[in-house]
Amino acid sequence: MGVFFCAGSAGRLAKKANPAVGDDILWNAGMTSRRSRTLLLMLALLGIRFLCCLTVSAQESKAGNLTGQAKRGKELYQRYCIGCHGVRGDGQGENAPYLDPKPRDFTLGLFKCRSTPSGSIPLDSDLFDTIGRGVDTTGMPRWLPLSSHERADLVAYVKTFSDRFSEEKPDPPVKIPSETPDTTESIQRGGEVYQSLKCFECHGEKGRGDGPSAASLRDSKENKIVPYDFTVGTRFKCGVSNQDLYRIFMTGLDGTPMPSYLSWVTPEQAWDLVHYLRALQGQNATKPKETAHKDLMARR
Amino acid sequence: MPPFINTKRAILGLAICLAAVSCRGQAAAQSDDYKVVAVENGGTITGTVRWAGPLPKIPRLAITKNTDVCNPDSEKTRDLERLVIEPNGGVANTVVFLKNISQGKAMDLPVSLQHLDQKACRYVPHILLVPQGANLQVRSSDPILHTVHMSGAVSNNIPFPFQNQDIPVAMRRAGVVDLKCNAGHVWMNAEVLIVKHPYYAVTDEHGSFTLTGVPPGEYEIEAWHEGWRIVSEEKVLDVASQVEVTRPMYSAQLTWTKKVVVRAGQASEVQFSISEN
Repeated sequence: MGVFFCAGSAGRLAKKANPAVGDDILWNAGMTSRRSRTLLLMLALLGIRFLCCLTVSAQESKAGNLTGQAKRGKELYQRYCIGCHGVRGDGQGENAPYLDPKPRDFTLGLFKCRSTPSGSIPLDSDLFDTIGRGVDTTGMPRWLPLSSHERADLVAYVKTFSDRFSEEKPDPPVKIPSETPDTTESIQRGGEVYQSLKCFECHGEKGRGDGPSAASLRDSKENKIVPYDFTVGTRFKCGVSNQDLYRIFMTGLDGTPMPSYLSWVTPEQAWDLVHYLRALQGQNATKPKETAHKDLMARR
Repeated sequence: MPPFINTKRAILGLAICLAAVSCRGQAAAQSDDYKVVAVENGGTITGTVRWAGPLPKIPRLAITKNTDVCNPDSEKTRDLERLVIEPNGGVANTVVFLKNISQGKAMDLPVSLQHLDQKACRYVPHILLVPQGANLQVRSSDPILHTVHMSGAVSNNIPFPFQNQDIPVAMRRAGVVDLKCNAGHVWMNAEVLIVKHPYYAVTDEHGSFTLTGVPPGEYEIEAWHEGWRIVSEEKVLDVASQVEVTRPMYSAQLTWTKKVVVRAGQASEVQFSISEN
């Protein structure tokens, strides 16, 4: 919107700068000074354009040293994303009826995989990572065939669907302190944390996703949603590493019933819980081959 | 005309354009910005919200989970508190507010409406009013798991595994927020209104409201109700207890608008009458 506004104003001023509008009192001076004025105006317009680019950050994304542009992202979106996420970014693409869970509705500005606390918009790098990582157990594939620059462009375009990105600033990311030793004692303590935080209400006593509240769960669009079954050992929605698991638990998955436990546990307790959840996965656990942000950046 | 005037005008034009550009982003968000001014000899608006016509079916749900905590009075079903009408017709929990007021007194909404408790698996109070930018303080008095899942103007999801600890939740955007509990207490529901000015009131059990310190003038006054009908019910099976649970979805919010003239130091009266249709 900001860009259009600028272009409009610039157009109006440029029309005045046209010597044909000579009877305008503003332009009744001699030819020489008219030229210099025209030059001045052109410089001014250039300045406006430049400043426009600075102020319209809502049209851009930052992921590492990449700057994504919504204009380029729009073309990519119309080629690759529109089928599920829809023309308006509301998750109502033509494939949506066949998908469970449903494609994300970008107009809500709500995202599962964030490094920021519950209620905050994500960082650009969070969206960038999600595009490259895909969302396991959902229809969202890993978009690694697209270059990292193209993924950054897509982030810029996806952000234009919600006013939240132009009106709000993301909260600082949740800190993930270094991991404590993964010992039998830590796993045991983690089991106590699982009980005291009542994770079993949804995820079940044995982590099978069959807790007493599981059947009544709905996401923010009132679609049915099931809690994660730790025992099947698939990748988590927002990553595979222990750090990812720590972050999921601390930030919550906004738009789903998974809340943020940030206010309730110490980092030590959270690491104990991570070790316990890993133990629930048993032999099925995906080996946490790191798909961290830096690896996603490194692809192409 | 001397050339410097033109230069001046060009610079002025540039400045205006820049100002417009830099303000544009905020203008969209805060076009209805509220300005705090000293209100001397302001007027008062009082009135009631009353039900007209036959009483509708008041939605109730069975208490199917944690009955020891959630159902201390051994009720068969729980009133969802979506529609509270006293015998003589007063409608509680309706929000009455001035529309399009641009300036007036400083924020003085009751602190009690900015504190939410989860008690016997009810949200107390049922309607909350929080100034934009302030925190809603949330706690649970129950020794069981609750989660406060907020969606709407603010989206947030905070669990309450432990009792009696206040958790502040920032209310950044103005608008309506729906609250629900994902810990199986499907009957729990409440609404938060995040507001930009203090001329809001929640009707009491008699349907009465009062707005004070209103600068003299003519205003539009609106009554807002969250909506009381259950538009769909979905039966789900509680795995642990093998009890069938009904998860309700509610009808849309409703509003009624009137005009009111406020005179200095005087009380004006407004009566709202709401009904099924």
